[in-house]
Amino acid sequence: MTTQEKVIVLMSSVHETLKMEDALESRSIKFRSVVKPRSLGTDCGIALRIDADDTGRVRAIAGELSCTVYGFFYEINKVWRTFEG
Amino acid sequence: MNLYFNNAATSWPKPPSVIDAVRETLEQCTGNPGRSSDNRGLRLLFRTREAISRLFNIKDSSRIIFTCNATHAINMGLKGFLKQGNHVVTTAMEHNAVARPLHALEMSGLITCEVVPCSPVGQLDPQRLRSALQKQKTDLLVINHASNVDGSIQDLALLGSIAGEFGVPMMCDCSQSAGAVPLDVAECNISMMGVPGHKGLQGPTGTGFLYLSPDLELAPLICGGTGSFSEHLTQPETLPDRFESGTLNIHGLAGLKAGIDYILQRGITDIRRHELELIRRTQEGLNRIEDLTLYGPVNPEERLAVFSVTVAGCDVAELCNILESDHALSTRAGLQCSPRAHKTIGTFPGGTLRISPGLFHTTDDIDHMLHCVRMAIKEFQS
Repeated sequence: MTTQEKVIVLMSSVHETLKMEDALESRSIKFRSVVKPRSLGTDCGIALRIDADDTGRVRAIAGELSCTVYGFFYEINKVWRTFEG
Repeated sequence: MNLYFNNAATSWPKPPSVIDAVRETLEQCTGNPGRSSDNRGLRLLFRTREAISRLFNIKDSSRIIFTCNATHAINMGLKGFLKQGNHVVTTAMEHNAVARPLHALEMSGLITCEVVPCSPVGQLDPQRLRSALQKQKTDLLVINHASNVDGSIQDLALLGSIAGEFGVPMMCDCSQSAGAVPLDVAECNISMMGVPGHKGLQGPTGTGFLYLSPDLELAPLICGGTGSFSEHLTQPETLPDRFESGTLNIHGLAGLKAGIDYILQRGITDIRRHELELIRRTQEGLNRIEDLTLYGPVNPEERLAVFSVTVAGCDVAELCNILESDHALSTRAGLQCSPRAHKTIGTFPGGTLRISPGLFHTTDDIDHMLHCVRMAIKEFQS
């Protein structure tokens, strides 16, 4: 199933993911915390699933918080690909 | 009537919200932080770090490392930071939480250490500190913010600025001061700070933290699972994961968050104002008791509500026993794990009777405590 309406954002650490969660919650941006997909090579155990339309806002918030976005990803045919937005 | 006067060891009673928070995390599933499909536990830890950051003006909450207590935090800081050939300057008012690990490191040949004497009321003369730092290249300054023996408070902002002049990082043992007096890590130029959760922060025992400034690097005290970076055998570089191997005391930390929220809501300035009222009342009362000597600074502004006393001709341990058995009043007698501080104030090796009121005491409680002390002395003398 293609899920480009939903993308996963990976931050550089668990702490930054939680910081981002708080920021998204306070700005009423929809998200869901999920376990990091195993096939994505990152050092973080959790990830955030967001609407693809929100990637720009999320990137901007990460900048404000001095957090590093490892990347946005979407799944197509069970393969995770980088979402360029 | 609140008869518990041993708040310098552990504060009691706790705010009801602390008890509720611990109970709620036990009753409701928080999972295992970092090792669960939900992240309720992780969120709770994050929010506890954020609350700590607000109280101490810490810019980056990932620099807060949870520990079992202040001793654990101080050991983590000292053993992780100090390297072969380093020189440490410390004071004669340190608790064994600092003095013993430093002594062990010195005995092992890793470091050299200079202990700067303090005044008979426990205060460090800034000029003496300056001289010690001038004398030898120093790698770390370790200072007790407030004494658990006589309540004396060091001027951390001033001492931190002196450390800054010499480019020496300053580690502070804030076991007694955290939650009792306003404390700003940026303003005081603090590089590391060890804090227990169960004293002024009103949390449960088994909680505490180490604050680590962004310019400092430590080797981890323990290694193991962090719930992150699991594919690597090496310890993660990211904070706080690097220093938090093993499952944390999530229930206790929920209580700690509630304790800090209580302090933030009430306001640290208001808490200090209340404490000053108790200090004045206690000082006035103790000073009126015949044969009793009260130690520590005379000026209430220079001390915490931690009172060490001796009574001529009285064994402090026996006095402590009479207060407990005949008046149900809890205090602490002896050296309070701070032999050097007792040498400084002139009460080694006998020690003192320590009376430490807490956040929820009233002036009526203080008056009752003073009455009990007077009665206990009479009982001892008769």
